[in-house]
Amino acid sequence: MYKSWWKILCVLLLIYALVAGLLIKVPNLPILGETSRNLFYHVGMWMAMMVLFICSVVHSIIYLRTMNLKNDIAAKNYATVGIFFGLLGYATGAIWASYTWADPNNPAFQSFSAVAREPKLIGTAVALLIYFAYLILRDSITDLDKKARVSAVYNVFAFAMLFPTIFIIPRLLPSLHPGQEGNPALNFKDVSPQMRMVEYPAFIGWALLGVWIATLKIRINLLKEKSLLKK
Amino acid sequence: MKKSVNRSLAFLILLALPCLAMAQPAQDSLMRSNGRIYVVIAVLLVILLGIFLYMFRVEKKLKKLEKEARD
Repeated sequence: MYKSWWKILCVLLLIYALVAGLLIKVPNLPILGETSRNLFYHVGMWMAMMVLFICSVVHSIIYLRTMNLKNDIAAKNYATVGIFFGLLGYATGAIWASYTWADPNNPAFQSFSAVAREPKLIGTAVALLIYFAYLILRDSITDLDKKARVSAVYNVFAFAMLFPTIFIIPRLLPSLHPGQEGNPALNFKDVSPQMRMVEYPAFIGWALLGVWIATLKIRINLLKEKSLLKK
Repeated sequence: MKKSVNRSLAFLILLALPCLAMAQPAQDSLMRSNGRIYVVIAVLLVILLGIFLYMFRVEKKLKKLEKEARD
């Protein structure tokens, strides 16, 4: 948390992701065109979100085992930053979609209701709302230990709900979103080798950036609760 | 309580964003020119602005804490 080598690594990886991501040659696909470069940015947001939610659930489980309030603070802040990255992924996805698969000029696009019914959109919205309910739940309990315990249990369930809502259900239903029959972006058949050279560093970079922001928030929060934690 | 109601409303509006983004004219030349590279630029701008705004919010929290420590 306090070391700086991984922060420098994060900066280097993101600079590489920005420069190489905009300069390499991408295969020119019919509808996508140059927008396949968004793989490094839009999908990176979701990778960062997943990493942050995993950190959050790990801290919640450690809290339930040790009852140390520090882990509760960490779990809360990882989840908040995870939601933030999820919202960024959602917003960037909206922009990308409205010029590609949900484009009124695209022959595969039927109507607005086809987009509104999109299982990927609904699934991620549900997952984010479940996590948002975690924050609301925390705010609604005043007793510190009770708050930490109840929300840690809820966090474990929220993490379990991530899998059906964002991985399983969208793949069972017809969808316009790419990557229907496997892991989008991680599938070796979908992504050209040159793009993979940028893709993985970009994902690691975004995830590290998310963890960096979260640790800053945790440190602020630990300072704030110093008097409580001393006991 | 009021804060959390406001926050929830803001959150719901954010989740409704895709609907707004898709209510666009069928023809516009800029976003579709040059292999739609401007879509990538728009995505990057959203990410950078989002992260910067978030960092300002984190700093606001820190400032409040520093003020409390001083008093």
